[in-house]
Amino acid sequence: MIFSSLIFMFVFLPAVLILYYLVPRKYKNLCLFLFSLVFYAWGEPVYVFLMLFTIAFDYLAGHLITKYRENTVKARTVLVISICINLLLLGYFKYSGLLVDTFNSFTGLAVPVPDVVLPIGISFYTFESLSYMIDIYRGEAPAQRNIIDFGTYISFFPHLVAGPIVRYEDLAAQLQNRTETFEKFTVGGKRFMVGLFKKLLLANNLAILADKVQYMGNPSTLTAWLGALAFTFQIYFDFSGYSDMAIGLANMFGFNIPENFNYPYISLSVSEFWRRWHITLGTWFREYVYIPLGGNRCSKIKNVRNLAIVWVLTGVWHGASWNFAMWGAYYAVLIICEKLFLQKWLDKIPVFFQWLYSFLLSVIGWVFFSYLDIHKAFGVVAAMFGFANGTDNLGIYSLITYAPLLIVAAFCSSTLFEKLTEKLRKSGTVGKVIWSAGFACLFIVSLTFLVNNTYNPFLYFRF
Amino acid sequence: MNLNKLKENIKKCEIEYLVVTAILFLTVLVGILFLIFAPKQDFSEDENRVLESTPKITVQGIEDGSFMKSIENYVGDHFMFRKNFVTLNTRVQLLCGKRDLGSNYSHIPAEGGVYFGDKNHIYEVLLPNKTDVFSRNVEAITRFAEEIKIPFYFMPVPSGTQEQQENLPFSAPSHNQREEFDAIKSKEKGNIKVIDLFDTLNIKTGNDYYYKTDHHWNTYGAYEGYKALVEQMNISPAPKEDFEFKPIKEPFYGTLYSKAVYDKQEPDTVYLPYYKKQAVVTQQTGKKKWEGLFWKEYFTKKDKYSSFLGGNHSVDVVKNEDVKNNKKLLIIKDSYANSMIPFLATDFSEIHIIDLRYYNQNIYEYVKDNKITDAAAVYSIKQLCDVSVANKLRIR
Repeated sequence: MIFSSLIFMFVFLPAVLILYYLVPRKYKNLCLFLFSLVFYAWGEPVYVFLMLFTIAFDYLAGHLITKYRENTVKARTVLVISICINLLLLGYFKYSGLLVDTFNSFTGLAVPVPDVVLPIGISFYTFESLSYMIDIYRGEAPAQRNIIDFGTYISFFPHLVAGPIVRYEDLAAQLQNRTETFEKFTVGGKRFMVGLFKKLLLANNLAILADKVQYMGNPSTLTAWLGALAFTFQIYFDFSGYSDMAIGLANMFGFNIPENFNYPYISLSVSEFWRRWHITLGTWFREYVYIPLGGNRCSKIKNVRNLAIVWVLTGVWHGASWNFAMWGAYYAVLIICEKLFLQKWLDKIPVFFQWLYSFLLSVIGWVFFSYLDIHKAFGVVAAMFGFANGTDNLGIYSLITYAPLLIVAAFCSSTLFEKLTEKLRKSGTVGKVIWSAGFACLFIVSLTFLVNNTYNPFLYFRF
Repeated sequence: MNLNKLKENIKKCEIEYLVVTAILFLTVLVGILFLIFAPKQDFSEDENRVLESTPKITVQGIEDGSFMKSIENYVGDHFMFRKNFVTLNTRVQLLCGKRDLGSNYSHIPAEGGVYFGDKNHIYEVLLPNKTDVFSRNVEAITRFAEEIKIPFYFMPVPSGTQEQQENLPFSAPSHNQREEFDAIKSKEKGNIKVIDLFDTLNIKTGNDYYYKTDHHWNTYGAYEGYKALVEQMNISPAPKEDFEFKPIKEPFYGTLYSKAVYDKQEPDTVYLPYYKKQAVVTQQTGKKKWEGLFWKEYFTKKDKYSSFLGGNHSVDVVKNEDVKNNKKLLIIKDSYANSMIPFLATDFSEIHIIDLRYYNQNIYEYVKDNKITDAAAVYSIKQLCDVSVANKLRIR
């Protein structure tokens, strides 16, 4: 189930909210847990058992780690085994197809490619269970005694499918002790709607342009730029919109979960971009991979190695296809260069060029991200830089029909939009009324897009 | 929580957040009440499909996910003010500068949606061919033609989009269907004749041969198609004046309209060509037999194009007892042919119309058993690209 759907907004959400607020305190987590299982089972019912296994297994592992606290060797063994099992599950369900495929193409053999459907959210909840065990091992949080509470942490539906990746340490206290307030609820409601707008009004519409350019193939320079920009904004509004909805929903149940995006496209360097983009993933890799490897408190060569490892893993985490590894490696190179010398140069040029440098590199990065076929991605980048016809019908047509949307998208991904609307909202009664009315209009328009998705004329066979 | 505490709690909220959250949940509440209590529609004429009925819970349904799917469909299909929302959505999108709607490029095959063109015309978006459906269809049809060894006329019909380029939005990309036509033309040899309608149906002739809201040619377009076909057969076509073109009274909103419902759209009129010279024509579909070729029950339905022959069936046999030439024509076709049949019926004693999409018998035997003398394939090029009929023509 996704948040931006009629079934979620008009059936699931009201049901879980009503029950949650009706049941007594000690059953609230159970209520969330059960609803989260339904939420998860909605698309692929059998995988609920996989998640239940993960929950039970990690719960047990957490206990063992606590029990052997005094005995470092034993505690470490349990930790290593459970990390391996979690990663094996992730590896099997996410990467086995890719690995067998690659093996076949290198060796010329025809090992049957396992036909596994990717369980939704497995990349997210696996990372959360890893964080649980590592936090316990390090003594940063106590093991969870109650398996329901632990299950709620792993399966909590707002962040289950697409993050933010919440570290156990951040949620442990809230699981036992949180207060639901009207204030939090309304902040959450507003936040949820903002996410809805981002997803339905911006991301989904930009996706059409990005998909179209990709479908048509061999773009002209203009078309290649429009397609790449459309995807650049699409993925930002899609993902950050989803995070907004998740954070808003968590607020409605009295939780506070961490922010995931902070205007990434205003960054002045690639390193800064990654501090503003998918923040919780970056934090996770820093906490559990980069720092344990030695971080930057070691020799330059080791630091470079650590950065390379982290960024290639970050790339591969995004999907089981080599273009994602390539995309990760691309960022590894850029960030290493910035660390070594580039940042010093950047500091000397005007701010506008610092921004342009970072933005263009992220746009190019998204080309490698969005084209599964690496050759095609290179073709598009070449087209962007003049190795193609300047314009074509598709380019001009897309420019005319999508200019308004692209401008709005650019505006909304800068801080300017937020500043202006906040100014309006705080400027007295008239401002408040205008703000609320505008918000309500956007909500209605979003609904029309949701309903439009259900409108499926059946054309071919009966007409 | 007691009342005072609640009041205090509300005071702490930002009032605008409270307002918009209230709007969200009031909408949800109304939506739920509507879903539960409002009377339900079973069939959506605009979409031409049955709407989801009340979901039934079964273990099997939960296991394979069909139960969840059916709840989702139910909520979508019976959502409050559904059509108003859809219409409003079209308006918003046009207002934002879009000129094409209803596309889905991640779907296979990709769906291009429709262009909103000049003169209140909607056009289907033509996309380059990315599957082998077209080449397999053409291969199979020409093999069939070679195999049956009787005169065979292949008539690929271009889309309105192709024939009325000047009405498309500025710089709108459109795949050139000449490409497909040329591929078909290259198969012309022996008993196979390929008929070129690109100039005949073009808007440059001064006539509009297509519906504004539907993907089919209109009755005048069908007449031009008829003329071109029989002229190839060395038959002199019945002149247009021999037909009375009677309009169906109710306005016609076709398939393209359904892809992007828009309340400002002008409707079309469907004209039915009645032959003035009193032919007694019968249509046999399965075991049933009718007089005349126009099905009145569709005059008042949305799908008025189905007034011709009652839409598509696997086999229709049209007989005209006034024609004594003993010519028996077989047509394999899509719905484009339907509106051509009233004209063709004036020239053949029998027309056997087969829609391969629904036909599961051995067509080679059919040709032999019914002593077919001529055969034709009447397909819109778009249909040839999108829907496979190749396997139905396999030699068994």
